[in-house]
Amino acid sequence: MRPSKNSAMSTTAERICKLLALGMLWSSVVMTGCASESQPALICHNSNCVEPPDPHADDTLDALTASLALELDGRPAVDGIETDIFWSGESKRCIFAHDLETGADGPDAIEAANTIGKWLEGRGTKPATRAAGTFTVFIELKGHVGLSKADKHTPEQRASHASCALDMVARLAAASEASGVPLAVRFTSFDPDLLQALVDEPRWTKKTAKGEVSVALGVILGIPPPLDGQSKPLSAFSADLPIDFALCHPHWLRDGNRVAIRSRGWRLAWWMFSAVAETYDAIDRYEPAYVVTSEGETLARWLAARAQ
Amino acid sequence: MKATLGRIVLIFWALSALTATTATAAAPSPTAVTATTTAASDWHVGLNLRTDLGSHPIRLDGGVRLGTWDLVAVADIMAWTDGQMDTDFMAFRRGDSGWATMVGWRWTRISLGDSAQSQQKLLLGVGGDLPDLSASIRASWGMELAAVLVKHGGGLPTESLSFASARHYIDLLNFGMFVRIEFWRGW
Repeated sequence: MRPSKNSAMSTTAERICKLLALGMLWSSVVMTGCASESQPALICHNSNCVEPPDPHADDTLDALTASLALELDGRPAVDGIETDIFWSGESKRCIFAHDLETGADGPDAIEAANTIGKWLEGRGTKPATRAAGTFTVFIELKGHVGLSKADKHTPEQRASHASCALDMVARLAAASEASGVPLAVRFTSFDPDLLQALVDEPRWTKKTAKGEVSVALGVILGIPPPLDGQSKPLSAFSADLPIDFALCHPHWLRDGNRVAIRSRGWRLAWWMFSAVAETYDAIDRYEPAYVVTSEGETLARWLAARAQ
Repeated sequence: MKATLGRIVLIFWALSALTATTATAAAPSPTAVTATTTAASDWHVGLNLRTDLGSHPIRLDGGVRLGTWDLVAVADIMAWTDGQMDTDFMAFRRGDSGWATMVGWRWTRISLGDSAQSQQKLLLGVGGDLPDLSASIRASWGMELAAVLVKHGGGLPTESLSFASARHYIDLLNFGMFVRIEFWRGW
């Protein structure tokens, strides 16, 4: 008796199902061998990594001071600090703040550099990092100048914003020289034009050529459109820019972008607020160069346990 | 050791697939296979597999099916690889069409060296039957939303899920997909 058409289709479906299940199992088995022991530099997210995470305190001088004071086993809990800076179109000020809704009256950006600089200068013989040899400061240049993320910089505002960021570097470089703590500064932004403005600033070349501090650029990828409009396609970032890494949220980075990032020769870095299983697994699987976290102690302890 | 575990699981799967192929060839009709899947009550044990980052890729899955309810516990047999342990308890409410809704709880334990942090997660999801692999091995697919309600322990401050701003919950709500392959026996 010939098999019916339905029977044949059912058999085909079963075979496909088995192949899919086998594929998933194989992927699972392969992934069991992917964990590694690489140690990323741990960076304090939004100058605020005292736990539990409190995003309302992000990019405030109080949180910055408290985060710098975090210690674990006699060493700082982190390897560096991230600061966010705005150029306010309304007040024409360079502001240390996470957003302009609540931070428009925040301190000048140079105050954040002063706070970090004084801390570096006060280290004496005490270590300045958790594990890395270099203290790293991330400076994120926010891509809008008003309350709406659609309020983009004019060319003059971009130049002023970039100049402000390099003023911060000058202050940090002086502290590095005075303290003897090696310093790296990583400028990050969602906005390729702001990264370009930094490179176009006359002091950019001087800083790199003299080797006073290690400077480089990072691209930020956040929640993809249409949920959030800040992330730009990788193609928006010129190959001529000295981009070192892409700072991504591990739960939202698509595989295609991850491969493209590697193809461009950039390193991966993760940003997050509160670490969950997915975060830890993403660190294990993809070995980011930097982990930017709002939980300094938790991540430091997890990384230490992982290294043992 | 990880590679050894992988080989063991692969051998288990190869034997299962071989059995499945034989059983499918011998089955008189697809209807007979479907009939075994819908037995009123049974116990089952198998593998809970995933490729996303929500938990370890291979965990041990077991439970009982009582009419339209399927009660499942998942034990993390890979906890020794990195000190992370995910233990699930799930209840599936099965419909006539083979689709199911799921509610559950996941206790994630993250090793921090001398102590551990616990993360308590609410699981909400849907599932569906896949074609049987043999008369005694069946498979199903599921999709879950895992919401971290509270993080506690490890000598660290407790953190609870908050919707005060996107920054408060962006890391704490995550989707995942899994496939369950299980040996079952009715009673």
